[in-house]
Amino acid sequence: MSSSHEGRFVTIYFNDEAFKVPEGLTVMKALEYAGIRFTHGSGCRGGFCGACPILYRLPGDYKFRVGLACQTAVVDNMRISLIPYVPVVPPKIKRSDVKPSPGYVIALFPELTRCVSCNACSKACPQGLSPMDAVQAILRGDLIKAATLTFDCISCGLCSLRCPAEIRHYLVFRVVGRIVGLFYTPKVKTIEHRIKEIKEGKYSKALETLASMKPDELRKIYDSYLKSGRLPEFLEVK
Amino acid sequence: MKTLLYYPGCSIKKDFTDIEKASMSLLSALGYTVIEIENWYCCGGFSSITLLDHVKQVGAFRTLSIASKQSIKLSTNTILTLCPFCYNVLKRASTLQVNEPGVYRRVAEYLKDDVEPYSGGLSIIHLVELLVAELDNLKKLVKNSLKGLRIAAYYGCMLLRPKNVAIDNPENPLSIEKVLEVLGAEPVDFPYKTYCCGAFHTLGEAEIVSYNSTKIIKSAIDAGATIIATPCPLCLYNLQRYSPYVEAGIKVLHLVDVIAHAIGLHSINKLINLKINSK
Repeated sequence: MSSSHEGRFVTIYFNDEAFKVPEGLTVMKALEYAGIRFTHGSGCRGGFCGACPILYRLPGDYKFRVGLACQTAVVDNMRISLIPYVPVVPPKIKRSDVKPSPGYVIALFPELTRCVSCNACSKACPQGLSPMDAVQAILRGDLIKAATLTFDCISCGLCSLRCPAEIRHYLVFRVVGRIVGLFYTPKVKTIEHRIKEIKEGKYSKALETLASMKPDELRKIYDSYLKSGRLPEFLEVK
Repeated sequence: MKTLLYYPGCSIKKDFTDIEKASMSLLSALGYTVIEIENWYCCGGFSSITLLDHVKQVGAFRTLSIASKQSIKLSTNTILTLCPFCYNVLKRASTLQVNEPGVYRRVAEYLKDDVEPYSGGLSIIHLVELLVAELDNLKKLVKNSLKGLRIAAYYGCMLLRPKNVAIDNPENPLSIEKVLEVLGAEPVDFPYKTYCCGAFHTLGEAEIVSYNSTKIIKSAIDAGATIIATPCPLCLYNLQRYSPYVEAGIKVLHLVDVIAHAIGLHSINKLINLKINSK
């Protein structure tokens, strides 16, 4: 190793193969340092997209630990597995059939009733949510509570992987979130107003003109907007 | 004021909100403060009773642990249930430590990551037990006497079996009859009052439910009843749904609806065509 790495090194095991990597890196950076190329299981690298969940264990501890590869720092002798995808098959949903009722959600995802509140899902959540409480809320008919509890779900699927009831959590939560959005969240008045304007054709002419322009003409408009902060007259719809 | 911790259960919260509302009004009229357990989980219902699978008991056990902590803050040790299934499961889970120490240790060991294991001290009661203890006070609340109404009390299984959790004599229970008498009604004795309605076979083998429910209702009609009152949401659902005799005129009502009518909370006249808002 070159002298530029003056820090200490740790050993990590990825798919049971040992790699020596600098201390202080995230698992993702460490694996890249070790020469592993991410073609899957990497996304925003900012801890938000949910593409890089990992399962790992630490020496001297039977506990399964979970995290995101881009957020978890390496620990000496940790054993890591990447879980880029947990298979779930989404049910077909017709907008006209959607009902704001727990019965509808349970009919789509009958496995929900198999929840025994073992809490394995919550222990597996890298976001620190409680999928168990959300599932239980659905079972007792409180969709709003379920949607609120799972608002920060990043759809990594680790909970579904650990669930003895084989619940498809993140699909369930996505459907519940949308039902709550459709039926319970207050509608934003300004959006209704804007939709009305669009339907009445207020912006159609400007849009058509813009769409018919050639790339270099668009570039000119863009550059002059950057300079002056003003749009050409035909785009200033009042 | 007497304080009770309250475990609603999923059915009551999802499909029987009217029963919950009426029960709460009734309890408040009897002078009780009822506080819902801050975090409760599905008791496990049917599967935790029938299967020898300890993981199925985790929900009930977790709930007891949380309730136990909250009970100390509220200085009460009583958990009230409205649903006979929840009563049965919680009651059995609460005696696990004494009756099945091996199972208790396993469940507690599994749960210790999340909650402190429940170590006894809570008393699980069903609404019917509470009402039997409050007969005198209940009598004072009666506004519309049910005089002349011949009502058959249908218990179902969960309040009476197994024997060690029964709220009354499992062979010939009389608790609900006592309540009905206080309301002014005439309780009708009939031989099938503890016969199983078919319970969860309603999901897979509805013929069983149809056969049993029809038998129960026919027997109540033969005994001269015009109303069947049951404290169990599932029995109510099954009896209402699967017997052709219900069409013929006999009404199957939740016990709480009958009481609510008698004490002037809401009228059962509207409930003759009571539908369950299942979807």
